[in-house]
Amino acid sequence: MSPLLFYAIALVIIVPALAVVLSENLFHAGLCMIVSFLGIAAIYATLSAPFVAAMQVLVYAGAIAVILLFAFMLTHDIMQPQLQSSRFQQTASGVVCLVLAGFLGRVAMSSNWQVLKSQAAEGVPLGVLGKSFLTDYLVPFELVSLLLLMTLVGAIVIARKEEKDRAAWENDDVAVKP
Amino acid sequence: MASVRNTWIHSPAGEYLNRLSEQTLGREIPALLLMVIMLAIMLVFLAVSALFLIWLERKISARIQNRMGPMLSGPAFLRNRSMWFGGGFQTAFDAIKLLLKELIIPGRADPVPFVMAPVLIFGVSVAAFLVVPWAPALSVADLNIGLLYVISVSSLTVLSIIMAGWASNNKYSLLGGLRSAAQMLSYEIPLLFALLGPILMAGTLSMQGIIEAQRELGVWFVVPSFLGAVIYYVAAIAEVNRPPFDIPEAESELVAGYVSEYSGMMFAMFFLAEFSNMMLVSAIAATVFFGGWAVPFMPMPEQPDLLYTLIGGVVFFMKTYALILLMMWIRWTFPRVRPDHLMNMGWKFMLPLAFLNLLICAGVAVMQAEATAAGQPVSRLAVWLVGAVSLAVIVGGLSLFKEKDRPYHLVSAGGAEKKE
Repeated sequence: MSPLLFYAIALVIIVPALAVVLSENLFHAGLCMIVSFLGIAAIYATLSAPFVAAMQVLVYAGAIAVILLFAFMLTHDIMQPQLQSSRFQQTASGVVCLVLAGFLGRVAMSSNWQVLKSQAAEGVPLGVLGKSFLTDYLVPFELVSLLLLMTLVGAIVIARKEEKDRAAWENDDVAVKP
Repeated sequence: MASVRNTWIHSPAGEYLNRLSEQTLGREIPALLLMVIMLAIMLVFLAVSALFLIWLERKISARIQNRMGPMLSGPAFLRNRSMWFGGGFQTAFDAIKLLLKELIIPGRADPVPFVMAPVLIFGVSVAAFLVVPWAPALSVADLNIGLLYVISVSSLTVLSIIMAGWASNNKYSLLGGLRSAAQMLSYEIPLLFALLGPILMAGTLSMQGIIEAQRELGVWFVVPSFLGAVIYYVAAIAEVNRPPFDIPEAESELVAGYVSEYSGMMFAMFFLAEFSNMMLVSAIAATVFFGGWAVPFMPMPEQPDLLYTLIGGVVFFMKTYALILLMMWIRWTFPRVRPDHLMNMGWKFMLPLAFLNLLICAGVAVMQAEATAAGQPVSRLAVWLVGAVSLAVIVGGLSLFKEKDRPYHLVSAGGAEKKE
């Protein structure tokens, strides 16, 4: 990958990422996040990992970010100024971000990067990838699916109607009828 | 020998252009220019076929409703000849009219997403066409992850609809966007699982590879996974927001849903995208379930062959258009589905059936693996048998439910009926 291409893509990732944090308009922030995700997918694609790139677009840009925007549309008065974060929250998150950036920078600087031998443009065959998911990396793979299952169950527990409420709601429904 | 054939089928169309230019001009086309040429060909092709499809849709709707449809536009000698010749230029004139109209951006709209949405929706649909295998060696790129690429790129369609719905700053648009997001996210899941079965049987995600696998098996994948084909088709209609799943733009309740505030060419972009998406999902169905360009009763030549490519292209088009016609037929004969029914059907009915279909396809894949291990071809009869038996079992199983207990029963879940 030529350095120029890398910097161009890095710009596409970083500028929208900054906009996500700094934008006052939540909807714009969500859209900028998607642009940033697409930039990351472009990095994967240039690193001969088309499968990871496609997954990045499908899962992050196509599903997670869309659900986020969907939640914005369902939330009443999301654009009201009183929903802005307080000065304390802003300071705390700034400190956390700086610490994280410093930590990542330190790891990046101290690591000795190995240059792997270059691969074919189409990357690792999918069959090899799938086999290693189900053999060498089975435990992490299953752990991730367990995490997703936990999230799903948690979401259902939060969202479900209690039996009492449901009865009240249905009676209400009947009462409205002439 | 097989390797020559493989490289022939999988080589992208650009290689032909390069070879042609080498023979005539003595040098290859620069990569960037080649990209521009391919993109231009795709755009022109898609725009023209969308215009044609819009005309076709009007004529078919007219036929179904016992009308004539557009009759007067076009050269005089074609007017009032027969229903299918009159009005051939109608959509071309429509396009010109739309191009000349003013682009109105509402004062309280969010301008950047508002303008970006129609561009994005058409761009995404053009990008997804990159891997469609029109004929052997005639796709812009034969990616290793072809089908996954199409799915991941077209998952951005819903994004542009949400953008349009939100940025219009209009409650009907917002409702349309919301409905569309819910619908498209729900139906993406059965769609993916329906495609997973054929992928399992083909052992590859490459579009040309899937066609090649069906040729080797000797049976189209629709036979063992008929259920998958039906689920894919229904989910695909929901994905392109066409009737009976057009609740995001239901005109009787939502004006025009997320397109309410759009005018002129921006509106036309949504329209173009709808028709090119229709073609895209039909082309994918033709590739994955109906054997793509494989010509029946004609042996596949080992070397690159122009005749086979041409006939293969015609076969692919015929399959795609048959599926598009079915979609139009469904559009003009079914009433619109109610949003909660739509959700019920997607999650409680289509998703479990898609899992079942995956199971059947996995069985066929095991059969294939065993036959390969034994060094003999898979018996076609066995595949047909699997398809017939599984279909009979599923239809029989569903008919065992009492009418009102059927999982797809479309009476709403509320208990009001019982109490009366």
